[in-house]
Amino acid sequence: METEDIIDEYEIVKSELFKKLTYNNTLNNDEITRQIKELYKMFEFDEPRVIICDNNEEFRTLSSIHNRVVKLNNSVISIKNQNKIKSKIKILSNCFKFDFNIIIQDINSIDLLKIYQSKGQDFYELYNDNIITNLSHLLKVKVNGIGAQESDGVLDIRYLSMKKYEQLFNIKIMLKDEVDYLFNNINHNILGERLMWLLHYKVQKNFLKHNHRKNKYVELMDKLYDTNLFGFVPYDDVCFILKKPDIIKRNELGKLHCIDGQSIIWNNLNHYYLNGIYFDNKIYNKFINNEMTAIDILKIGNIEQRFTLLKLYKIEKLLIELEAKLLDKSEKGNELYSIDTYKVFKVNKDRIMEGKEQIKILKYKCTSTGRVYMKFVPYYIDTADNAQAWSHGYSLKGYLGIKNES
Amino acid sequence: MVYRQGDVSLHKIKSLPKDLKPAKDNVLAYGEITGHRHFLNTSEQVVFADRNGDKFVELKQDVELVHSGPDLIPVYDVETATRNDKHLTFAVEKGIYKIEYEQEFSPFDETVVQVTD
Repeated sequence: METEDIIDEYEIVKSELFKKLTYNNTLNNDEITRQIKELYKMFEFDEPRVIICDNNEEFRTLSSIHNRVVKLNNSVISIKNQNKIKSKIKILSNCFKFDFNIIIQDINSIDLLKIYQSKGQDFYELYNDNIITNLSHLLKVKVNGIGAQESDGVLDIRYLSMKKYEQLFNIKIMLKDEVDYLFNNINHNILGERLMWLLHYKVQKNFLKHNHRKNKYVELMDKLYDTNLFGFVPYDDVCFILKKPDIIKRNELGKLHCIDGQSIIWNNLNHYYLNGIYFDNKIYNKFINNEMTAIDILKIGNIEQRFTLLKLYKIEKLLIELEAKLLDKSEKGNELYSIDTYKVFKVNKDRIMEGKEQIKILKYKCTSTGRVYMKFVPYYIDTADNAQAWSHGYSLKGYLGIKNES
Repeated sequence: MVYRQGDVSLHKIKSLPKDLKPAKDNVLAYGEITGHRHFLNTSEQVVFADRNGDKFVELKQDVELVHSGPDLIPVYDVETATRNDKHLTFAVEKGIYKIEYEQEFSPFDETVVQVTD
């Protein structure tokens, strides 16, 4: 089945979400606060503190602090825009009815981990497996986080999410089939209150429909969703709100994208995206200003970023620019090209060592997604399939006999 | 026997090397930019690692190899989580495997590096 053919209910949910994300948010802070308080009142919750965050960084930090406030009390965390956030920390202190002293400077995961370590903790509330892995590597210590809880194996983060949702929705959802359903069908984070609305939507539409009951949390979530706020993290006592960015630009597929500036601007926080892939300021501007050569693109370390730029640059144009020669094309769709080494390095031909006269580039298509990628392979590779086999650590025979490939 | 899903491949071997430790989870690879990950969908710990960080898998039954969305994404980047450009799930037969990662050559510094996404 082609990827494009997989159009299921999930796609419908996705398109509805995109529609929700393109609204015009003209509410001012007072109006937002009033509406949130009214909603809480409607469902007989105590009046919450409403903390309106100006950008995603602030939103994530404050809502995380809310979760971790006891552990992080008297800690030093850093974040940008220290002054702006101080007043909100003060509000948070009031919410918790004690002063907590957090110096905000420039938060990053390493700082956060050090704080945990300084408190003698050996388990850290770091949800992102990737961060955990990187931290383990950087600090050369074993980092245990929720996403890395050994006993729960691969179900770790989902399992904990399920527990949270059981509590929140007052339902029992640990039956194996149900977990499998969620596990296999949601395919995105279901933990993290900041994404609760997303799961809520999916859960309510697909999971709770057979098990619907009056639940004021569910209904509050529904109403919050309908407010068209960009993000919200509702707690009993405080509701964090993320306002819509000042500017958000997407391509026709709904992916973050802008070829003449930031895709997202939130006060001082800007992000550059091309077709949904994040780029730092330097690479983005170099590419957009046509200062990037074909070789520069091929030198980009991250293959998704490279793919994105290759697509925008046009692969055929790149091959022409490089004066690439097609050496071999296989039935599997792999194409091996060569380019003159001396041209790439801009040196005299006679300075190139024997055996290194031609740089080899493999152009290949992902069997699942149909995306076309390019990568360098060693000088000695002479066929397209040999190149792909080398890249994946197979013998040619092994590559041609792959049991399953996606 | 070889299986491949994106930049990860599983190569069947006869036996597990000695001195392996259970990995922290059953994830075979993470995407740095995309946040996606490749994992074996079982609650049993089936991935092991040696001192060098090389990964091995021992499956006592067939297990699905899944390519999933990120665990934690910025709220504004919902499309990253919901986009459909994922690799297809398939079952890996029971057996012992060594995990290999897609690599590429850099002619600029003449090194071989793991492909990152």
